[in-house]
Amino acid sequence: MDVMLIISAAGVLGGLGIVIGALLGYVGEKMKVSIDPKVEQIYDLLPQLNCGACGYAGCEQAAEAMAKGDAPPDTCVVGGEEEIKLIGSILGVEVGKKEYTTRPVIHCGKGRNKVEPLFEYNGLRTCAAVNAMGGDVPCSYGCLGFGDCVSACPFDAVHIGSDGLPEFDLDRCTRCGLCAKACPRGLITFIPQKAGVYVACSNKDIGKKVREVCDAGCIACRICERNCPNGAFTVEENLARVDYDKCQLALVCVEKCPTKCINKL
Amino acid sequence: MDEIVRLGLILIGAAFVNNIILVRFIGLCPFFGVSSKIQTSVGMSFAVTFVMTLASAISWVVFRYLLVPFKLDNFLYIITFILVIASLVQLVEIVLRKTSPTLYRAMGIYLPLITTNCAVLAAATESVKPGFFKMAIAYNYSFIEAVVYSLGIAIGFGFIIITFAAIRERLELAPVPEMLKGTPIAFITAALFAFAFIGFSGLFGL
Repeated sequence: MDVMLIISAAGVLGGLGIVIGALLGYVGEKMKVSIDPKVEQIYDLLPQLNCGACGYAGCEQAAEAMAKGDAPPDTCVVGGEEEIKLIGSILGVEVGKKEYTTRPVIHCGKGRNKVEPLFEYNGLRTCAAVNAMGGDVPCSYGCLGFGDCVSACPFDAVHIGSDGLPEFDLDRCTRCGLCAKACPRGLITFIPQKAGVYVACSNKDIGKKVREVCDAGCIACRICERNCPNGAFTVEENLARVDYDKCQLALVCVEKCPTKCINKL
Repeated sequence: MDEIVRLGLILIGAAFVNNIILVRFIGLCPFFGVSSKIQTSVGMSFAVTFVMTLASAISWVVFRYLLVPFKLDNFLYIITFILVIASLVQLVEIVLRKTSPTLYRAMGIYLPLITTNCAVLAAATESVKPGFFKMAIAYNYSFIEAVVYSLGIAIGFGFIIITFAAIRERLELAPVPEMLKGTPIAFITAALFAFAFIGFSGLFGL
């Protein structure tokens, strides 16, 4: 009887194993998915951070597009020149250096380390949280300085400087724009790479109110508008704006701005 | 008792009263392993729900029509279920990869993790041997009951793992004492969480 039990156990388990194995083998052959080996090679070279700066949903999709030839080998710029060259060699294409057309700037001139906070804030150390309470910096348009942009950056290209404002490491930055999305006050924008100046203020209040909260804010005095030889400045909503198509880098604005809120890059 | 009500009670009982993670402490590795982000925990719980229900259904059939007739139901079920579950996961992975690349990408990384998940094995075992891990109940689930039971376990699993991930994401921002940062505070939170689930015990009897 016991021997029968052992035999039937072995038979059942063995039989089950053989049936399942055969089924798996059959299905595996039937459902075979052929993948271009290039995709895997390229994917291994990519940073695999899925930042989306290239315009594809993730690194895998970008690798597929590059292998197919839909996208140039310098689609992903995150890994640097070395990576692009290696991808180029997989695809058999020569590649030059990728030039950026934009760069990030922060439209605020006075970080939290240089202003008196309105109240002592002990909550969550994120900009989004303190912004939900109205913010503890005097200016309701100003940088909150808790570094939501820093934690949003997958490439370690944003850091909070000594004055409390974020600083951008342009060599590391891939212009993915995640920092701009993370900023609850929308202070980070991308301006043309060749731009020479930017307005370091986002305050849309009238001059008197700006002066009450900050001595480095745009007071909408229109001095830049009047003095720019190329007519690149306009003041809209009490805030100076630059038309980068017209700007010829005369830099009169930087000199003449009474609150020094127009910065040279 | 009305059949629908009975199935509903089995579902709620499996999901909350006898929650697989917090009351029975089965499946703790994914509970801590993939609960640091909501996104991954959602992917994991969907994959577990899918595999657990399917695995229990097939295990039930194998047990009832293969192991019981050969009188092997007392000792051979664990290894048989492992075999069934592992190959089922493999099969699902192959089929998904071909038929739905999007779903494969969403679930793909979690499927191999589930192959040896103790919670899946527990669900399969308990759907043929009710109350196996607590007390032996002289009762056998019907096929529908077994499927509903394991679906309930999977829902309980998913509910806990997603809620816990949300709590852990919030803990990241909380001022936790240095010595408790990371996993220790997660364990403490899980313990408090388990206390709360004691409240469900004795909710109803079948």
